[in-house]
Amino acid sequence: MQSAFRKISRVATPIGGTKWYLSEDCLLAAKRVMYAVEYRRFYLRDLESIVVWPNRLWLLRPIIPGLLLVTLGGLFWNFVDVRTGAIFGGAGLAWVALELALGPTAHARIRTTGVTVDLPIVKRARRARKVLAKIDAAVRVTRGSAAESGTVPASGTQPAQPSTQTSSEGSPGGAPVVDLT
Amino acid sequence: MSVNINLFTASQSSPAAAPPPRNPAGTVPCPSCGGDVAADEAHAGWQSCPYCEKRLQIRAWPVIRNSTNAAPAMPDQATCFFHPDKAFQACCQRCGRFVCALCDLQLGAEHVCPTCFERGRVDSVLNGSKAEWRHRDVLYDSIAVTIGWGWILVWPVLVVAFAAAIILHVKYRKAPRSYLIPRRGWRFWWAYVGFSWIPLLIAASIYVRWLARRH
Repeated sequence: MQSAFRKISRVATPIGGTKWYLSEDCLLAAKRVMYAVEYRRFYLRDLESIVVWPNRLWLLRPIIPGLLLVTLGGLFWNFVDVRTGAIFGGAGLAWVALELALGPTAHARIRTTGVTVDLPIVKRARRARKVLAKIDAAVRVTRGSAAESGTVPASGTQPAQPSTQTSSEGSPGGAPVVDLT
Repeated sequence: MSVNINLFTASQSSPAAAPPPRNPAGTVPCPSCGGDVAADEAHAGWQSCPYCEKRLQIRAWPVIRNSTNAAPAMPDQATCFFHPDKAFQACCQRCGRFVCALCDLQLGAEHVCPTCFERGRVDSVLNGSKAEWRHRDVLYDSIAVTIGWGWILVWPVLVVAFAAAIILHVKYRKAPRSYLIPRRGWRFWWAYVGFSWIPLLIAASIYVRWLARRH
């Protein structure tokens, strides 16, 4: 049951989420919605860039539930029971503290030859560096072996030319229209 | 009416799904303002967009240029099955058709034609074939767990749920190991635990009553 894929990241949602895996030649996104998993492959040879940036609205995550719980706790404290109020208020404060400790959530944009996709590659921005370093190392290994086998990177002074393929998903093995000679 | 089952479509339908604009080499468009941001190779941490000051973490790699030009066929040369004017590049290892550089799809060390590739993608869902072709899996073991524990919410369906869990287990017992990301089969057994706890509670309550009556 050994898998060729190595899990590098997980972004959970209430009905599933996306898990990211690295294999020797591709970055695999396994997006789960309920009981169906869709796979999307980003071949390391096709990767051009990955950009991660913090979500501007992440502060709503601690503020809204925290405020609700603390308010509820205050109401319980005054009108029902001190212990119940303390439980709710404490939960609200703990939630705020946890969210602030975990830091901002993140967005990500993956750009390959011919397609740009917005997919969450990390849940929190603070993990981005670690995950990107793993991908970077895998890309460099793949590019290194590709260079040994004769593929030449494009000149640094020329802009990227999108290939005829429109999606990395539909190009198993790296590129359907590759001429590696 | 067409039904789209591709879960990635929603994220693709954003404006970002359009073909990327051409940026100078080594730069990446800022997701906020669209300005060209040069990836800082030396410092791999956060950097700011020079135009909008947005904090970004960028990894950029040089583009590998792939030739999309299939060579035209000479008069006495073998030609592509799909493009009669293009020269033979490889032979499909599934159906044996000659294909040109445009139609030659590589799956690891294997060369296949576009027709076999599409057929393989369809078959991969049904038969669990080659990993490169798999694009979708259904998690039957997770369905069994939901049935095994979810019946508590709608208890009259207990008998049907139990039968469904057994059928799922028998029919798809090997499925978790054949997923693209293999899973262990313990979830099927965990579903039975969900069925067992109510009988256990009933037995415990009967035992407690029996003990109380004895004393």
